[in-house]
Amino acid sequence: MEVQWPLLVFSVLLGITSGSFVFLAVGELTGRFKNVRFSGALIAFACLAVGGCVSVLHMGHPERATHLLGNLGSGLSKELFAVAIMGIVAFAYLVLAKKDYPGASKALGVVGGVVGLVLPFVAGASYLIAARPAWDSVTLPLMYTGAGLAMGMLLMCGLVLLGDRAAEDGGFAAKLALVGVVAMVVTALAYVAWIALAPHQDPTRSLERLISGDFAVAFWVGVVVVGLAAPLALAAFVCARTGKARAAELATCVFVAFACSAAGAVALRVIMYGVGTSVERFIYQ
Amino acid sequence: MTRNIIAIDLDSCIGCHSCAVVCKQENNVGLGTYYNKVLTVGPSGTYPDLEMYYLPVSCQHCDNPECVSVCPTGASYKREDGIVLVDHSKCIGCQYCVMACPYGVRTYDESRDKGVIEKCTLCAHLVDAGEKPACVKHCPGQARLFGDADDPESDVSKMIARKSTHKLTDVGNHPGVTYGLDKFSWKGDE
Repeated sequence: MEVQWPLLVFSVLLGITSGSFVFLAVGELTGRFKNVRFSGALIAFACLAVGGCVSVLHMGHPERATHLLGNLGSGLSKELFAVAIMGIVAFAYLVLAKKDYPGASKALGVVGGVVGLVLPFVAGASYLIAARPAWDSVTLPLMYTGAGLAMGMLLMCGLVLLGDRAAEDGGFAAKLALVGVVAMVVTALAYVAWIALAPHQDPTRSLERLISGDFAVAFWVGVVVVGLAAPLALAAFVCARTGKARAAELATCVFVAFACSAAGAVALRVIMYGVGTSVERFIYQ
Repeated sequence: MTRNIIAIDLDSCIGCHSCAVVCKQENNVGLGTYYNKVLTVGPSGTYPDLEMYYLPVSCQHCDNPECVSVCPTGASYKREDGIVLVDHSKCIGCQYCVMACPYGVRTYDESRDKGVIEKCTLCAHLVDAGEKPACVKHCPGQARLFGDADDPESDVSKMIARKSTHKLTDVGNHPGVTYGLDKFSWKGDE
């Protein structure tokens, strides 16, 4: 099917929010990253807000949103609730980050981390539709979660390395970012494997489109080289060089890795929509 | 309980496209939008043993419609008599149902009632008035039949009883439209 750009942008921004909050939650649990709590939560909240606004562009009649409570079992309704909860938690955490309530910040940060883990999974799970075999696998929401972890953690790691506690927290932040990137690589490859294994195989949703077909450039350059290999190499490099190289230079590497992982997430989602053809396409594609 | 379905005797379908034309007329379907289309399957085989038949396709009014399950507002719904409809006053145009339909028979209408989903209504307005859907009424070969699949005396039940019947690919949605085909081999998955 055609690329649904508002949904694509929404899912990428939502992923950044999620990964950021998982990072901040780990910081709350380990007593680190206090100096990036506000800036990190602000960026995460802004991403969610902008993503939410962009997603509205996908609808023909957003003014009828009151009807969204009409079917709570729908994947879209669940996604909406998860976004709303994330938004409330993010906003409350943002307010608390400016105050000195360590207990409340810690509790809310952990809740934010849990919701951050759940949110991209719920968003991806709304694509579990039997009619579109290339989507109908748990690997898709896992891919959303993995990309979110990488993007959010890289972004937060960059903030830590730019901050005044880079020497103390930089190494741990870099390790966390590397964990996020590894999660992204594993889940992205798992999703690509699903495309090859999905039932009702058809040329429109075949692995050949990625390997040597019309998605070859998006896959090899966008996903493999830029989206997965580059962030992995950069994150590993930063991990190895933390404490030895200047924090600002390492932060640059991390931000480049973040940009690469975001570009890779976009490329993989473009492919996801492209191979997301229905079992039969009788009247419309 | 009534379970209204369409049954199509493909051996009697002459591929005249009358059903597609009257559907557009009856439902005022916009330019570029179709509730119902007639596809040509084949020719297949090797001369002189060639096969070809026509396959009219539209919303299958499934027993377990995924379009209804995924609709976040309840705009897509299934009536007690089995007809699947879209309440345009509730439709937010999220196109989730378009993604969930296995057959590509729903569309996002940008031409007429902008921003909502359009599809075959099984001419519910005619059915409610005691009539048959327009495509059934106007089929010159009487290939299209309409009725209660749970009533053994209905036209559709009789056709199903006497012919080899087939359904479109089923991914758990259980399509309602039943195709009868004896003269040629069915080419679709089931």
